[in-house]
Amino acid sequence: MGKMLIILISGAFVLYSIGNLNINQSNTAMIGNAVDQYETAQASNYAESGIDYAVSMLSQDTTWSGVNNKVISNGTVSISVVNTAAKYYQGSDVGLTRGRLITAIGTQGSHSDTVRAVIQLPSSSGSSSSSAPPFMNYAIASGNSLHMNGNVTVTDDNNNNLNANVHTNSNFAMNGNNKIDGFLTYGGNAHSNPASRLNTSIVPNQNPDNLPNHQKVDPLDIPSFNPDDFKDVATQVYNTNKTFSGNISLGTKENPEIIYVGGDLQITGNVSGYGVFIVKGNILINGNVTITSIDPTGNNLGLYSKGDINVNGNVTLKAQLLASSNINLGGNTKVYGSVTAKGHINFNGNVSIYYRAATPELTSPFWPVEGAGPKSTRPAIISYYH
Amino acid sequence: MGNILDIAGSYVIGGIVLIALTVLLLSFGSEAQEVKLTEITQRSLYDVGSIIEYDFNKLGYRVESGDKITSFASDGITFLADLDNNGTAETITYSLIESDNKKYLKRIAGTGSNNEWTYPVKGITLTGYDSTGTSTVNTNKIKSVAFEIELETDSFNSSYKVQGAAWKKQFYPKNL
Repeated sequence: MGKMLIILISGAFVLYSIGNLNINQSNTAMIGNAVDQYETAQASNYAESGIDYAVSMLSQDTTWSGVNNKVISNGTVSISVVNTAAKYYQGSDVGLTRGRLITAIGTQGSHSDTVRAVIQLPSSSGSSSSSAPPFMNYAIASGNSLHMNGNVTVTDDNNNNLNANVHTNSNFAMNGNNKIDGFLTYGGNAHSNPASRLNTSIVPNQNPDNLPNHQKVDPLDIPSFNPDDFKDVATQVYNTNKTFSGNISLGTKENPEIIYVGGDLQITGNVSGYGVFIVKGNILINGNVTITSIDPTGNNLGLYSKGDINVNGNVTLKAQLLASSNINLGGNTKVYGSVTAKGHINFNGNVSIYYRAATPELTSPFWPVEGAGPKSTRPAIISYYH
Repeated sequence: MGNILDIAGSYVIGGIVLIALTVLLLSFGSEAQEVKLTEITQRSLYDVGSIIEYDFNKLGYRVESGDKITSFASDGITFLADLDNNGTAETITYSLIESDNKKYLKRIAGTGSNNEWTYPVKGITLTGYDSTGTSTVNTNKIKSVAFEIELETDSFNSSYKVQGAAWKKQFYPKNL
């Protein structure tokens, strides 16, 4: 009996040891998982901090090129900065000016993580600069009546710090499923069908002073535009009708191309660089047209017409529009920029306006406004790949 | 008589010891199993969390125009991102689906049957926040997204004892 008991106890002890070993192994594995997760998270944090550090350094010194194995807490981060004309890591050259590709590699223990960001440095630091004229500081501004029929949306372009404001010096009317992410101001009266939409469809993104969403105000001064007044500053001159298509190369932000067209302008294609078309006749964009641009947050293309601007079809247009006469947008038109007309503005169909603030470099040759405000000195993050 | 009492006493004491050892071993075996399951759950959540982090950190990357988040609800999200940096933004969808009275987190990245996987969960909760930190489901206003996954080990096999686990992270995508 005694021997049997010893054997049983010994067997139980062996089984107990095996169970205990299993628990210890699981506990060790769990601790290993936790350490792995901690090191991965730390490496990721170091890499992200590296990007922030690089942006900070480049704000002070645009020639800063990076640092190796900078110690942060218990880890390190290595940062490299190279010039780039692409908006994305390993992206194609789109003529981005003052672009920098930052690569930050964070390391903690045996783990590392890499973050890449493309940033754009400001054109100059600390100095005041020109700004867009007041009549261009609206998503839509009309010197006459403004009609929205159909599914018209006026919103910010993924920047809800910006109000997509709408103004007309005359009457405003909307009919259908419309939406405005900004204030509506008018010189005449405002009408909506149904009437309740004036209060429900017009909602500014930002309203710190609790202003009314729509109100009657004094008229806005929208000047007439005559391209002949600026023919002498044009870098290209076409005295008759002109069609542009394919890849259109323009100038730089500091020295944009100014293209004079004495007749009507038709345009389609990809635009690289900065420029303005000043057109004596009408601007016509019809059919399945996409006009892309390189500036992800602003405009690098201006379309200014003495006549009408007529857009119809499946059109995607990235530009700031101005017409001395009328602007008619129909079909499935999408405009990333702003729409300004001294005459009437009519929207019919599924028109979307994604408001981007007007680029002063494209307005200052025609309507200079000096010293209107401080210029941003903070680099802008164009893309972020983590 | 004395021998009989010795033998009987030995059997009683031996039996008690034997039963105690058996109970101890069963308890140990159960504990070892739970610890192992916890480890598996932890490892699984860690792996799933890594994939979610990989996707959400790239939310909106290389989306030239239009909405970067195309749909959002507390139990699902669809957004665009160029995950593989190949120049084209893919559509990524996370959603909660039910099958055979079980709930699963389903991820679809791009097109093709190989781009899908499901993972057993108790539930998921997505919360969008705008730039002021206020929760919103408006896809145009969302600036950060909190993703929470709740698990029970019976999500894997109902014969095991239920053990809960949770994973939560809030993302602030720089491309948003």
